[in-house]
Amino acid sequence: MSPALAQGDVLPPRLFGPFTAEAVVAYAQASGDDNPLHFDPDIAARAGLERPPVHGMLIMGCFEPYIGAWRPEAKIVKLSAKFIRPVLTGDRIELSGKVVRVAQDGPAVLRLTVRGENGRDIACLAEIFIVP
Amino acid sequence: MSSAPAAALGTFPVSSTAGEAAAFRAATGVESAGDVLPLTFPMRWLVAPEIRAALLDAVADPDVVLVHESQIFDYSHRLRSGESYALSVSARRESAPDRLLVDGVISDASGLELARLETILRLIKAPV
Repeated sequence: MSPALAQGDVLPPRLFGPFTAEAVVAYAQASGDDNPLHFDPDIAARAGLERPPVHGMLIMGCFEPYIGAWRPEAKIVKLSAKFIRPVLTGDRIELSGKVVRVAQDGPAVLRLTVRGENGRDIACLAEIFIVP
Repeated sequence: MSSAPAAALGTFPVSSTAGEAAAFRAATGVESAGDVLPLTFPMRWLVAPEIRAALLDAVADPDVVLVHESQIFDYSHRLRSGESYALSVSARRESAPDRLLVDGVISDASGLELARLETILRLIKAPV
C-alpha cells in the first residue's frame, strides 16, 4: 500500500514513446480516429507542421498507465488536458507530475506536464483528479 | 469571442466489444482490469461515423483542419465493455478563436449519468 498522499508529492518522470508511424496507425485503428492530419504530411504541412502530429488522445492515453504505475490503488475520476504544442510522429514525451491538492472530503488533484524529450517544450498540461 | 447557443446533435447508442477494448488497451498501454474500459475510450464513440457526421455538419466548412485543443473526461462510474450506453452530444461554435465545443453525457439504460466529456476542437482555415 502506498504512503499517504501529501501536497507537493512528486511523481517520478517517465518517458513514453517514441510514437512511431506504426503506433499512430495502431491507435487510429483502435480509436477510430482516422483524421488524415495524423498520417498525411501534406495536410500536416498545411497546418504548419513538419511531420504529422500524434493524436492528442494518444498522449492523454498515457496518463492512466503513468498514474497506475505510480499509485496502483488510486482511482482516477477526472482527467483534463490542454494540448499546447503538437507531439510529432517519431517523437517521445516525458511525463512528470505533482500533487497540488489533497482534501479530506474530495479527490486529490495532480498536475501533470508533458514535455518533448528535449525537456523544454511543454506539449500538454493536465489535471488529474484521483481518490487515493 | 462570440459563441452560438449549443445545439443538441442527438443521443446515440454506444457500446464496445471485449476485442475493441483490448485493441485500445494495446494501443495506449492501459492495463485496466477485466472489462473496465480505459478512461479515454469514449473518444472512440465520439468519432463513430454518425456522430462524426453530425459534428462536421456543425462545423459546416470542409476547408478547415480540426485540431484537438483540450479534452475532459469526468467519471462518476467506470464504463465496461459489453455494456450498452447512451451518449448524448451537443455542440456549439465559437469565433475568435474559431472553435467547436462538444459536450457528451454517457448514461446507462436507467438514465443514470455515468460520465461526461468535453472536447474542444480548434478550427484552422488551411490554405489548399
